Amino acid sequence: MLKVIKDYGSIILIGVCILIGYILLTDGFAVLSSFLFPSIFDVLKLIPEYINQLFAGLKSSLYLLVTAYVLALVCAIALGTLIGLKSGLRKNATPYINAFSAIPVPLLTPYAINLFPTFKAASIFLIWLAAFWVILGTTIGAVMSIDKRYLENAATLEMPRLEKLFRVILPAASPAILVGCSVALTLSFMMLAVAEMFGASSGMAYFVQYYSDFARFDLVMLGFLFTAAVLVFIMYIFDKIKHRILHWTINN
Amino acid sequence: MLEVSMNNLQFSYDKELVLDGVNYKARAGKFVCILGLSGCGKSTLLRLIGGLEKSNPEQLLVDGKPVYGPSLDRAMVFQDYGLFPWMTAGENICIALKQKYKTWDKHQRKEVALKWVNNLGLDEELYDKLPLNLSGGQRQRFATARAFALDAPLLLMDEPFGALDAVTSALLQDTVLELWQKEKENRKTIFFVTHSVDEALLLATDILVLGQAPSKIIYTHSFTEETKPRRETLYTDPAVLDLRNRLTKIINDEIAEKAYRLHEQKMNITDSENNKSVKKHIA
Ligand SMILES: Nc1ncnc2c1ncn2[C@@H]1O[C@H](COP(=O)(O)OP(=O)(O)OP(=O)(O)O)[C@@H](O)[C@H]1O
Ligand SMILES: [Mg+2]
Repeated sequence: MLKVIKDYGSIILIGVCILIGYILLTDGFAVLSSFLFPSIFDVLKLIPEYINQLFAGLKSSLYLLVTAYVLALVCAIALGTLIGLKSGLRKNATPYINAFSAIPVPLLTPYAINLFPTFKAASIFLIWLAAFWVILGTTIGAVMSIDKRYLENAATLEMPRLEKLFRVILPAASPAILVGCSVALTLSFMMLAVAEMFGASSGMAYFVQYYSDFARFDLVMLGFLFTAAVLVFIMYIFDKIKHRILHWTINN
Repeated sequence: MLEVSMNNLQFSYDKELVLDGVNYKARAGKFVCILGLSGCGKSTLLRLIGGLEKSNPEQLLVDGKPVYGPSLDRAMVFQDYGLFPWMTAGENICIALKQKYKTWDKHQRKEVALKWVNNLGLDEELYDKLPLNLSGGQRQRFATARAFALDAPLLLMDEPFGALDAVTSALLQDTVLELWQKEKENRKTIFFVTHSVDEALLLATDILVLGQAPSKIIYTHSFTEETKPRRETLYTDPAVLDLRNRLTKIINDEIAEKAYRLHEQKMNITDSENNKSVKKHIA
């Protein structure tokens, strides 16, 4: 318990300050419109009634997010490593990668809806695409700029290809790849919100969208708070994994 | 144990000629130390032998065969970056052993790795540490342990102890010398690049001095089993003292010549600048 306070004390303190600020602006001095910014206590009172709906939303959102993100991770790292290692392939592929990755993924929504049989598949595709481009780009760059000396070291040991890939190339590139992965995770959240605005029947962004149509801003606020809590938790897990992988670098 | 022969070996990076006709033959089991100014091509020569740079197949032969690429027969120890930072020091040795002895299991690899860790005077508890958490000297020792564990007949060492303090490098020199001497008839052939004349005198059976790039060999010296200096006689034996003076003079002459050349270049540049400004003035 003491350790938790020591490690996270300041984080909790900042959270409490924001909360107090909000209470002062709403309940305290009524600076903000109570219609758009309901009292936090009213919002909290809604939890028991809506908790099931929130968790059902979480489940369907996570399904989309995790499927798309993991698929993007695997595809982008595999392809990115290949392109990064083969300079000929890289030279020919780079202009197309640049061109395609410049298209804002939300603009492809109509195509996705028409091309895929279900809403789920279309959403997964859009989230996948958003994450894919970012991870692909950073992986190519990361693999390309691996310190040549590591590769020479592996060469003097006559390491077989597959072992070289997993024991040398990917670890050496992992710091840069992980930067791309965390950007891609944030982008996936945004695409999730876009994807849930059409055709979804549950989900975290759907919840917010649905109740804002009825002008129920207390529920919108609840949805925001819940989503924020989930994001913080996912990012926390992500950071833990990142530290695990990068334990050998100076910054960890 | 491998013989290395260079026949008029030439090498250039892009268009810049670095080695301009190096002729040398190192018989099997020799300990060859290479001296020379910074930038003269010592590392390049080692990289050629190691197969990290492409050489002309007629100009460089190892064991009578051209060098087409890196090989487990030619273990390398570099300054500073011999270990993969994402593996523990011990894993670094084990992964090398795994490539060389494909049939060994994990335990055999670890056993041999630990043996070499001990041979180099390292504490066994360092085995599980990351290179990041080792001192520079400990890292070099692990890199050296890895090279010796591979038991390659040819060992290429590029200023392996250059960045260490005098005491630590003396300890490592003694260790390497002992490990090399121990093998009697099966001694490894070692190429060892160094900046230090004393280090070369202590370790080498043969000393090469490279001139400035594009470089050739400008001086060689071979010791016999009897004349090879030992640490005790390094500063007392008149023959060794004489040789040290000669080597130091050669290197100092090179430095003086290089400094003169740089000075000339600078003068030329300032001259031409002066001319320009004078011309401007007149115009
Ligand atoms: N990869 C490279 N590409 C182009 N030029 C290079 C490359 N590596 C080295 N050189 C050049 O080749 C020359 C010899 O370099 P080398 O590293 O062999 O010198 P060195 O004798 O090992 O010097 P030092 O004692 O400082 O390590 C230098 O002029 C250097 O600038
Ligand atoms: Mg060098």
